[in-house]
Amino acid sequence: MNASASGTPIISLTDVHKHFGSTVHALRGVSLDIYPREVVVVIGPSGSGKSTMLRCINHLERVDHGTVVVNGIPVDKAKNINRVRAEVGMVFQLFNLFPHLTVLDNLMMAQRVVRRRSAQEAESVAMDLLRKVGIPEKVDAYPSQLSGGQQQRVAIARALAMQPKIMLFDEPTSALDPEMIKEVLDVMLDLAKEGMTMVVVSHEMGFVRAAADRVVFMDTGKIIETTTPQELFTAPKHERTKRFLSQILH
Amino acid sequence: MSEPQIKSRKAATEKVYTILRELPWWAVIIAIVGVVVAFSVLTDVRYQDAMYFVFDLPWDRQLLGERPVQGDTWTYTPDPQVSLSPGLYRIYAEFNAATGEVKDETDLFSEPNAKSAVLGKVPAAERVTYLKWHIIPKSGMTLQQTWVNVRAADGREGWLQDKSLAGQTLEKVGQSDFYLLEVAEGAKPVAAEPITGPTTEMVRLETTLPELSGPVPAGAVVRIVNKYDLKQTLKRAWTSKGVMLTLRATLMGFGLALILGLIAGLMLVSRNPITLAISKLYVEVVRGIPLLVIILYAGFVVSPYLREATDGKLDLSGLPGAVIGLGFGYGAYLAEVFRGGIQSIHHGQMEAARSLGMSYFQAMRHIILPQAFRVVLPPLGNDFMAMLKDSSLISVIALPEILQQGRLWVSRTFRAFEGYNTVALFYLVMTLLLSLLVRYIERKTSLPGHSED
Repeated sequence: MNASASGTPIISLTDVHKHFGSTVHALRGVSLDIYPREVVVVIGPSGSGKSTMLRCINHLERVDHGTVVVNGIPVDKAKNINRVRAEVGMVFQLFNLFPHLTVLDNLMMAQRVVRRRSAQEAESVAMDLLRKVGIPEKVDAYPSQLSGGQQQRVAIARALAMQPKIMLFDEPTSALDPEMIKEVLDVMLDLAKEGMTMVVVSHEMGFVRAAADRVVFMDTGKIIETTTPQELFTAPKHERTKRFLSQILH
Repeated sequence: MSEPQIKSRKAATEKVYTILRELPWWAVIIAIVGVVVAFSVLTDVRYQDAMYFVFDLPWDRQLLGERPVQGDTWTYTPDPQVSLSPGLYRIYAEFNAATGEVKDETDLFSEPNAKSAVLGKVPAAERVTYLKWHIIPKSGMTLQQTWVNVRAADGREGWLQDKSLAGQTLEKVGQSDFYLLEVAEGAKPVAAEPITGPTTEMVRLETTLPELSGPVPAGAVVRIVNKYDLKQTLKRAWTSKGVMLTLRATLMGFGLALILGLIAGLMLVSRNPITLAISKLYVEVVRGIPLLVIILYAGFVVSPYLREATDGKLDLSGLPGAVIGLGFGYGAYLAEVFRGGIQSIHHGQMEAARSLGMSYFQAMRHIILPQAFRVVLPPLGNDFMAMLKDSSLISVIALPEILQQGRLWVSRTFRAFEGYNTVALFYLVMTLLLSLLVRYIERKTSLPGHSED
């Protein structure tokens, strides 16, 4: 979508290792640079460390070895990790909306608490975003009253309300019914068109084709190859990538 | 029994079950309790007295003054229509601020007795003021003064015979508590001639006021109280014994337990090993010691120590000590409740909040705790009821809450059955009302789309 990698990376992972307990070695030396306005899609079999890498970027997981630099700030040593996180929006597989708050309050809470915006300001930001994701009429509904697709769109809007520079998507469509996937992908495509820096863990090949600048294929905690969508579909370099693609592209 | 008979009986049983099933559980309990209460209270004056004493009603009891009635002679004048047969009577005294005019010049006696020392003379037509009282049992019977303690215009005080006064004006200033008048079995017929006090063998005034125990009026003090007054009632509710003391101790104790429990609960889910160790130590130690022992510590170890250490400036004896004991003991249980509630919230909630840039405490306050509150509400309600009942333990440090009042009443009247029934009834009514309240709050705070039961 965007011009290829140029300038200084906005996210930079260098030789990142992550262990869970003493047995699971989830990331084994991952290095990846992501540049502003770039859309990077991460694919790979389950257990390959895709989500873990994403969660390391905004420090939901502590990195055991290596460095993660976001927006020029080393995440591990950041004095105020909350300030880093406010610049990095995250969308989860299971939406993780706040069930005790209405849609509007879901969108307003972090604006009020973290950004210290006035109620009017937060509400106008929230309403703009709800219109953008196409469900302004659900403003007073509770999450449990929404469909999965609507919930995920609210979750995207909630992350966008903080006006982040980067958006991370952790399998945003894999908990959705097939007919709801499109409404979420449409929102994501719009975001990509606007030039948002996005890191997306997803197997939606339609999205890869339409929006991805680069595709990263991971397996067993390592990056196997980084490529463009065209190359991925026409000429994957690695045997492992070919095998994986033959499994998911029927 | 024939086949159709069995069938029809089965159908009838089924019908009864259906009716019972359709009744809400609380209606059944209220109905049972209601019948018991109505039966007891309406049929037995002892229950009224016990309830009055145990509740220590905060109304209708503003003290206007105390007046010794020692030495007042009083006469029971039998009404020809009514004979005072053996049994229990509920009586009260009515008090009037009276003035009267002395008919003829008369002696002012030092005691209510014509043989006592004469203090001086009161001239005819002088107006004197005095307190006039009479005791009103059932219709047609009054017990009234024959001697009155008067204050003359010149300030002298002394005793006159009631019959030497004329032109009396009466202004009711109050009435006494209700007393039980018990006429013993085998008492002489009362119609024969007037019976005079104070050494009557015929009637025994049984009462729960310490000043009036024993034959009346020997050594007695009557309390003059006025009628219902909201301000006074509220004021007295803070100092009255019985039910109000139990409620005060429970509310304050639970408030303290909530604070301690929330802090310890948050510490239990923290990853800091020191805070974790402190909270675990608190929870495990306190949960392992009976609440009774903790209350005894608070009342007899901690409070006296603090009093001495601060030269009496910090005195926690009495209610504060009890509240600390209850709150400290229950805080450990509530800590576990809060820990469970917080951990029951999906970790994705914390991650979502943190990913939006909230700090740990902001996420706790705005995201986790409001959700956890809905989870812990039923167990919190349970623990509140348990504490209401366990507040009876503070009677061991001599606080006159419901149980202590009940025991006092029993020790006075030797009526354990009525006394402890009354105590049990008060607890039962309070816990029933509470469980209704908890269900109401649960309904009010439940989220749409989540089931209520």
